[in-house]
Amino acid sequence: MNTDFLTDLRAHARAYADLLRPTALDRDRNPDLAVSSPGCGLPWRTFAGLPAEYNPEPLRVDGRPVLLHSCVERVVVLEELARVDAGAVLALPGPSMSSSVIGDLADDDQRQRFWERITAEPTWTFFAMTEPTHGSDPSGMRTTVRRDGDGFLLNGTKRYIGNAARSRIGIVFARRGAGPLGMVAVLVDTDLPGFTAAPLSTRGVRALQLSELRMAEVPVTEDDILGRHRSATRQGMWAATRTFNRYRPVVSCLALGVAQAAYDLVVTERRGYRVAERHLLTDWEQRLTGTRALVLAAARSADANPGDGTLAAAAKLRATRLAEEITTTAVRLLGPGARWEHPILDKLLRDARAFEFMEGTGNVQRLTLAEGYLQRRLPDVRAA
Amino acid sequence: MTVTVSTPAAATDLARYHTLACTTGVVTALGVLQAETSPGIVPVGPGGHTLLPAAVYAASDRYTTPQGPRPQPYGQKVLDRIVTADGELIAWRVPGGGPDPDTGAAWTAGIAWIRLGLTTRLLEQAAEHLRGRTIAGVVTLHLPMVRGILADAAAGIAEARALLDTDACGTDLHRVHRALDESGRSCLHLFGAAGFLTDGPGGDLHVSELLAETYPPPTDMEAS
Repeated sequence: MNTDFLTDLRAHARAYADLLRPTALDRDRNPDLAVSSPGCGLPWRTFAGLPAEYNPEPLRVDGRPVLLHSCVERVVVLEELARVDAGAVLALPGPSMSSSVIGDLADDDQRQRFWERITAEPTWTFFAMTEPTHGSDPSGMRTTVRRDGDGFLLNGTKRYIGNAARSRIGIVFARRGAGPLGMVAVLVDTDLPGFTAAPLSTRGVRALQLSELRMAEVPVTEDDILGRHRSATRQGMWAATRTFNRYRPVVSCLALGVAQAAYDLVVTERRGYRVAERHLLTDWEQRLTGTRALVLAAARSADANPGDGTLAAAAKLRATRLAEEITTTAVRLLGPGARWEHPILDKLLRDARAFEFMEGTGNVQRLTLAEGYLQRRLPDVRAA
Repeated sequence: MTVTVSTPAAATDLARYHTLACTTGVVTALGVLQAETSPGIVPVGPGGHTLLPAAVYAASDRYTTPQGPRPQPYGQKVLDRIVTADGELIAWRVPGGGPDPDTGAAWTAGIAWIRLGLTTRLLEQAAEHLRGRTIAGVVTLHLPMVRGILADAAAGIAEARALLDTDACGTDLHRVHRALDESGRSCLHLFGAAGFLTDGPGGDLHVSELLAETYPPPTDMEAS
C-alpha cells in the first residue's frame, strides 16, 4: 500500500468519522446506545473487518474495496474514527480480536459457524483472556476446561472483557493442561447454561462496556475447541500472542486518535499562548507525527510477521503515553473547570486512560520491547 | 485581574487536612477546610466553579468573589455529582464567583494538602492491591518494574510534601499540583484495569484532579 492510497483511505475514514460526532457524548453517558444503534451511525459491516463474502458494502477507495483485513488499513481508518469517538470504534459489532484467533486456529466448520453467526445481524463478540487476580498472565490462569464424558466443562471468571455482556459468541482462553502449551481457545455461545456476563461501570470508553464473565460448569464440545486439528505448539497461547501483536498497533492508533483530538481541541478553543505554551504545542505536533509513523511501522510489521510484537510494543508505549500527556495537559491549557466547560475533553481524558492496560500494561510492553531489541528484531537498531 | 494573596496558615496547621483526607475522606476534609477558612461562604474557583460537599452549600449564605463575599444567588447550574467513599460532592457553576482576596490563599493551600492526603492514600491502596496479586508465581509488588513505578509515585508525593512543609503558597503550589498529578497517574498505572472502574480506587484520583482544576493556585500575574 503506497502513501497516496493511505492518504486517500484516511480522508475517506475522516468523512465517515463525522457520523459519530453528534452522538459521542450520548454513548458515553449510555453505553446501551451502542446496541440500539449498531455501528453508532456507521455502516457497521463496512468497518467490521468481515471476509469479502460476508461484506456486501466494503469501503471503496480509489476504486478498490478495502476490507480492513490488514493491520495497516485498520490503524489508518480507526485512528480517524477514534479522533471522534474511540468508544464507538471499540463498540462496533463484529469479530474484533476474535477474527485473529479464528483466522489462526479455526477449522472450516468452526470458521463457517463463526462468520455466519456474526454476520446475519449485528452481533458482538469477545476475547476473554484477563482474569481478576492475574491479569493476562497465562501462568496464573485459573479458568479450566476439563473432560466430562464426551464433552468438556468450562469453569472460571474473566474480567475487563470488552463487549462481553452484549455478545452472543466469543472466545474464552482456558487451561486444559499444565504449562504454556496447556492453554486452549474455546469458542463459546453465551446462551449455554452456566454462562453469565455482567457489565462493569468504567470511567472511560464506556461504549465498549467492559464486562465480567462467570462460567460455572459450562458444557462445551470438541467442536468448540479451536485449533483441535493443530499441533500442541499451535494452540491457545500461540494464537493469543499473535492476536496481541496484531491488536497492539490498533490500540496504539486509538490512543493516537484521542491524543490528536485533544490537540485539535486546544488549538480550536485556546486564544493566545505564552512562549512556553507555543513550544509545548510544537512538541506535541512533532510527537503526534512521530508516533503516527511508529504506529504505521508497527502495523506493517504485524502484517508481515504477527509472531513478532516488538514494534507493536514500542508503538503502544509511545501512543499511550502521548494520549495521557496531551489530554491531561489540555485540561490545564483550557483553564479552570475545563472538563465541565468542554465535556468532550473530559471524555477524551477518561478514554485515554484505558489504553494503558488494554492488551498489556506499559510494563508488559517494555519487557516485550527490550526482549525484541536484544533479539535484534528492531530495524536499524543494534543491541550492544 | 489582580488578586491580593493573603498569607496562609502555617504548614503545621494545614497538615491536618492531609491527615483528614487520607484517613477519613475528601468530603470530611473539605467540610473542615471550609468551616475553618471561610465559614458560611461557598469558595469559588477562578473559573467560577465549585466542587464541594452538599453540607457546605446548605450551611452557606454567601459565595466568594474577587470583590469579596456576595449573597448566594439561587438557581446555580449543577455541573456534576460525584459519589466518594465518605459522601457526595457537587459541582456548581457560579457566574461572577471567584477566589476571595482574603481567604483565597488559605483555601488554595488547604486544597493542596487535601490532594496530598488523597494521593498518599491512593499509593497505599495500590501497594496493598499489588500485594494480593501474582505474576508467574511472584507477588506483583516484588517485581522490579512495578517497584520502579511505585518509587516514582512515592517521589512525587515526597516532593509535594517537602514543598508544602516550606509553607508553599501562590505560584509554588503549581509545582505541588504537578508532582501530585504525576504521582496520581503512576498510582493509576499500578492499579491497571482495576483503577478504571467507576467504584474503584481511581475515584480518589478523579476527585483529586477535579479539585486541582477547580481551585488552581493563582498564576504569576495574578499573585503579583
